[in-house]
Amino acid sequence: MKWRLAVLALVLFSRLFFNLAVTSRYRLGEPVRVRFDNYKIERSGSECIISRGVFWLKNDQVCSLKQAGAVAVSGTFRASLIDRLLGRVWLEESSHYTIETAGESEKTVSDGRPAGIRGISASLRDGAERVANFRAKLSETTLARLPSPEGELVLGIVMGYKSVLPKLFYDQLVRSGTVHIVVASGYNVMVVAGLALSAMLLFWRRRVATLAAISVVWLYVLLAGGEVSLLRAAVMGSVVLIGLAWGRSSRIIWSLVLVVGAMLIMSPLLIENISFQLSVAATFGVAVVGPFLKDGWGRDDPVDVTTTLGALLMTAPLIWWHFGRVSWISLLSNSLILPLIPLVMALGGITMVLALVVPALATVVSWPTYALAHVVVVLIGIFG
Amino acid sequence: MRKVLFWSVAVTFLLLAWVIGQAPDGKLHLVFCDVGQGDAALVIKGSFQMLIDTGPKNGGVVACLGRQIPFWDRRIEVFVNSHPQADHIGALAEVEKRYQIGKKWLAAVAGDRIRYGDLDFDILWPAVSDRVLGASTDLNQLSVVVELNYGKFRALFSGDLGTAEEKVLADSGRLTAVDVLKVAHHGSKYSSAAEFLSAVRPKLAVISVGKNNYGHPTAEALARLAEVGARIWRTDKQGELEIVTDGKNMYY
Repeated sequence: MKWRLAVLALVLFSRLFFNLAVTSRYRLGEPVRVRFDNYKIERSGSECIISRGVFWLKNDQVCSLKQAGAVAVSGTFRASLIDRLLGRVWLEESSHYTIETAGESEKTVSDGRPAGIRGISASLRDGAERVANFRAKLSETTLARLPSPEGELVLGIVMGYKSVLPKLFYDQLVRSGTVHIVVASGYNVMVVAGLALSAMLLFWRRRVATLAAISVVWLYVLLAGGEVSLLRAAVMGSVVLIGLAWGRSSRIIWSLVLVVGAMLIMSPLLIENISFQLSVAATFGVAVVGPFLKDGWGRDDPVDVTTTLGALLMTAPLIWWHFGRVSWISLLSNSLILPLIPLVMALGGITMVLALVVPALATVVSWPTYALAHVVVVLIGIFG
Repeated sequence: MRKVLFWSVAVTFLLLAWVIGQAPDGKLHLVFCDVGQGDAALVIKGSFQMLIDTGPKNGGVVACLGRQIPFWDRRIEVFVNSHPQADHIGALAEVEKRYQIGKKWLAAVAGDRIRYGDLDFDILWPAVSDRVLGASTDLNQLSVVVELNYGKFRALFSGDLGTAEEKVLADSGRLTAVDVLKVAHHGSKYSSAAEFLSAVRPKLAVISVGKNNYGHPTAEALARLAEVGARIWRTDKQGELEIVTDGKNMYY
């Protein structure tokens, strides 16, 4: 208990101290000119949000921007900063902001980070590029072995590659209420954690297996694109796995409360973030509901059905609440398709890894992968 | 241990059934993929596949190939391109990501011939001189016309050929009656000349067409096809078409 309190104290301390120290750079109402390049555009009702680093801007005019290129926005800060590390600096939608495409100008703030940090982020970008290349290679070898649309489906399920899906098939996914299976989410991370742990337990003692499983989870997160939501889920998953291995199982819920609490203290707005909710629910399912089900079942469970079921039971209501047209079709399609997903992930993952090491063997493994993926495609076709 | 044995046997049997289900049947399969506005036809016999055109980018040809080719076969023996326009070759890169292509036939000329067992592919158009001299700047006029012979079954793929070229072909006396005709240029009114159609007298005319602004297939072409008594299959209305033949009878 002591070390948990210590971690909590450290988190609180660093938040208060470092954030106050840095946030004093920006004052409310101070005119500023911000250069956005490589910005993201997200739609929010009739308006759009662009963001770059900590700076965020929301209005209806930015919807027409193209993804590429740079824009400069001048305006004032809308509110004082609530968080330097994960927070947002909203720019006032005042009348005098201008958007120039690719316009270079002096005195522009780039993304508000000190130069030292920008150096780190540059090397991070290099790393990200390498990961992206690796992902592209994995996708290439997968598509060379699996026909369409099974190949795309496996890529989507394993790595969250949504963009390569054929249009017709994507529409079927949407209509059958199963589109969430091709998005890399906290649920995927938890499934990987569960699968990896079961596999490692075949070879090693619990503690060694846990460490190995954690490395697999982090490798997966990296391969799946390393989005913030996945990183968060991986942190949660790791803490819970460690808790399961070293602590008493009755205390596991406290590990979860601690890590979730720490994240919420860092960034309170997370609570309304869907992927955060899903990650928490999936982790809770794996760590608490799964073992509970296993006790209740009281029988052998070689493929860890209960763990998957735990994650499923906890995330399903959220998925239906946020994404689902809550229809009988999606209930039925999901309960038929979701149990197959961990298997597709495992086989697809093995195929991809083997393709890099022993291509011939990967081809052999790709056959059962195809068979399973084909079953999923047929089911999706029936419901879509 | 017993459980593991049971499951591995069960899975093996399932996979075997799967493989046998997809195994080629020794008959000739002629598939016209629904790729929207564009052409893509697949000739399959045993482990041999010939793809004639790919349709446009993202038109769906890879999904069609995925359905028609057994999953373990990652090689297409021959690819023939009728002419290098986007609605005929736009998806070649997608196809090459998925499949190895044995021989690419990108500029066939009249007189060329491919034989595979009892399959016989003859190129009827364009003449060598047309290609060499570059007499035409219209790619459609240089469309490769492929005649497929298998036993008594005969099919003709006419790319985007126009009426003028069709008439030259009809006058040459080289054309004979066919079972299946891939209607030229998605049913354009500037193709499917009456003289040409009365020379080939197709039993089944396949129009590979999708949403377009040209009015394809046009009423004129449809009327001329009806005049020679051809049954019409439109990929935009009826979707993908698979014709199976043993060299005598065909069904679809």
